[in-house]
Amino acid sequence: MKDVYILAIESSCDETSMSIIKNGSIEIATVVLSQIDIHKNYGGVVPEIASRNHIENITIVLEELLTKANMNLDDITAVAVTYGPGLIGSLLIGVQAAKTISLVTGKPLIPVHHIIGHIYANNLEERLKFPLIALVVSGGHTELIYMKEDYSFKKIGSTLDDAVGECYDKVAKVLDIPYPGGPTVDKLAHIGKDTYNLPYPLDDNTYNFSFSGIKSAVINLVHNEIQRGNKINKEDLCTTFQNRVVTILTKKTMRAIKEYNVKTLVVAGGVSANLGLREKISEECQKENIHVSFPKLKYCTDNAAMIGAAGYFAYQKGVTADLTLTAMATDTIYKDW
Amino acid sequence: MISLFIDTSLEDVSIALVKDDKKLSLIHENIPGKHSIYVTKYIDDILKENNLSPESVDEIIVVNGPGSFTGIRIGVTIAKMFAYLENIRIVTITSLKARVIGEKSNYLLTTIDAKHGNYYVGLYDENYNTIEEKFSNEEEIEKLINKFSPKIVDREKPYNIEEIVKYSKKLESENPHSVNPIYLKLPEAMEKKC
Repeated sequence: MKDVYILAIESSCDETSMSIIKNGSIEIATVVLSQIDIHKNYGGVVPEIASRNHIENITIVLEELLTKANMNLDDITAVAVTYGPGLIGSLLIGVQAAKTISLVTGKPLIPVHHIIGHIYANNLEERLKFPLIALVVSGGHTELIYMKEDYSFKKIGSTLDDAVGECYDKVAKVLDIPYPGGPTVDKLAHIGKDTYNLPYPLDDNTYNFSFSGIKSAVINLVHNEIQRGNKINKEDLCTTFQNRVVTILTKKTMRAIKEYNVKTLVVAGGVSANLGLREKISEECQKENIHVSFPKLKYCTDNAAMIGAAGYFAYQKGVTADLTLTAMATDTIYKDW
Repeated sequence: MISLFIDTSLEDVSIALVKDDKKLSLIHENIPGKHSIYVTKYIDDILKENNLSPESVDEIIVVNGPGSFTGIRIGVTIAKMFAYLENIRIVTITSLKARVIGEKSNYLLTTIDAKHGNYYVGLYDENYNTIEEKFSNEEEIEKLINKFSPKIVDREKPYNIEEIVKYSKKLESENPHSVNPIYLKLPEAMEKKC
């Protein structure tokens, strides 16, 4: 079979990234231009500033990628792009760039859902084994997905309010930990003790999640302690918070694994870099003899390599778009393509 | 010499093909909020309509603002990527200057509504050299009018695309990497910081 090279573009948030992936699993080259240092000054990503940076970077990133890969566009089979969900102004730049490449080169255009990309980041490690359950945890998403085979998705649960990563960042903010605070909360959680009284978030028999309650509980607790003149033990509060969150994520995931009778779990998204989560899930999976796969740390954050991996399987399924493809800020449809 | 003109700065989108100094086709559509869907398709359509391939385009003239932030980003992203891929000449022109080109007077002035009593204003001399292009208000515009007594070019005036292409020959080709929108206005978050 002829090798398939996917040129992939990802610009859904504050990273301008492009990658070339061979046959859905081999990374030829990837370029990621992060704007994190710019947005740090504002305590979070400013959408208008993100868009302005994407457009300044877009052709530069492509040139850097082609140089790094030592390839030209004639070697490419198709162009894959994240069409959503994400920041609309950011997504638009990647989508317009991809459409222009498709227009000029005549190569097929493949729309990739950002979350599907995160799941397929694991295919860059080892071939996914089906059926599987995917736990997607990031700054914008908390979802449990059942996959019977390649490019087949059934959402079985998701957050009803805040995403888990968003909750981490808000907790970090109230504790005066600089943006992005999630990773620091994880670090502090490994030092402290579980001493605070915090609720378990949405501990019910659905596969849905809710993190706004525990977020408010942390914020209230901090404010009350400050008013009383008490000092907050940041480490202990992080440990307590992380224990609650990780316990629920793990509990619901393990239940889904049993109910859907799968032998493989894939964890994906930015929060899959969280060590507390990795440890707890690995421990439970080992007990139950479940094969668990986490993405390499460099694939946890937004990157185009994962879009290229997903794009290959979309292409195999015949998923393409014409030049009227547009970006979608909120798209949660998991269809069986 | 085939020139591709792209303007997506306002609700009205203009895509035109000009051969030497003669307009081949123009796609002019009012598509508020739909630029992201249709602009690349219009370019494909206009090329096919004239039996031309993307490779046959020799230069791109893109309107890089001011106007709708999202609108200008769409046109500019397409233009800079197209020019980069085909390694062709690319020049930019502002939406304000594009409108006055073809008009004759010692001084020319035009404005674009920037909402909340604000305007983007452009003031040019008879050779279309820029005297002023900025984010402004009625009071300041009044001052410019009193000082220069310019001919005021109506906001509804359609572009004279053949004249724009002729004018653009004088401009030096730009590096696609550094072709970017001109906003004439900082993002709100940055204004607050300043």
